[in-house]
Amino acid sequence: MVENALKGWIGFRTRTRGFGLPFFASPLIPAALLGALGGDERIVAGSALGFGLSVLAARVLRRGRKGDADRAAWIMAVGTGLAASLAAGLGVIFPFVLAAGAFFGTRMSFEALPETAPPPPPEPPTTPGPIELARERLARIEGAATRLNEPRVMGVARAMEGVLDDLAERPERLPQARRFLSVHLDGLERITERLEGGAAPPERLPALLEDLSRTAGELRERLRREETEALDIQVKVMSDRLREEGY
Amino acid sequence: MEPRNDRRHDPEPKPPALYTPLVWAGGGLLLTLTVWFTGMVALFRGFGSLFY
Repeated sequence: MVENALKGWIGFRTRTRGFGLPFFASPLIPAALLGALGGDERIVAGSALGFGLSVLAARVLRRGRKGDADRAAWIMAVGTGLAASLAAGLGVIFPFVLAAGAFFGTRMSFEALPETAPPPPPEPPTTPGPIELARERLARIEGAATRLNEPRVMGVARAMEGVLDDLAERPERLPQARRFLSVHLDGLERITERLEGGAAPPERLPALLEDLSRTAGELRERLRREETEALDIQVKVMSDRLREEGY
Repeated sequence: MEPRNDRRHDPEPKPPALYTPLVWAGGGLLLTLTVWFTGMVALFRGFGSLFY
């Protein structure tokens, strides 16, 4: 019975926690107004700091994360100390005593209220790999080829996309194709940029584009052949071992 | 062997102590004696600054 009442009370205090802190500091508002009317800047500054920090402490408490009650208590201590020193003019030592009282008062006032764990930090954005980067660049080239109505550039881009598809399936072959990707993709990108800039296509361009398409096909062929050779070796090794084991 | 999701031996969350409201009251009293008191002294000083 008593425990249930206490739990209900804790629930109520959890929902309303922090709202009371600015109330305790509320006399600082008229103090700031009177200080401003009287031309005393220290009173205005101390009152504004004291009340402002109590609002900040309330905000921190409202968040309800682990350790927030301690943070709010420290903020209240600093606010009270500053207000006592500047606005109330209580000397040097007494503000520290009042700050300590505010610290422990805040800690005690929010004792036993549940605090949630802070949310996990957001995952760092994954950097795209070389294949994804190459795909993005190819997509830009294809867009430019469509705008320029250049089927030959589009043909080269498609051929290079085929290489990327193969590489995506067998990323361990990427080092062999890195040079191809940098040289061919860079070249095709520059050609497309020039064409988009209004350059007239030179006579040798069709032959070059054909070469690019052909070498892309050759690279795919080479990658496939190497894969076949690797499988061949694997089969041979496996057969030899089976024979050695006497099966 | 006990199943992994057997929660019979999980420690129960500790219920709050019955004297917790007294701690809250103590905290409120301390805040009154410190923060409220500071505000009131500042208020009197502000009032005084109108005349001096």
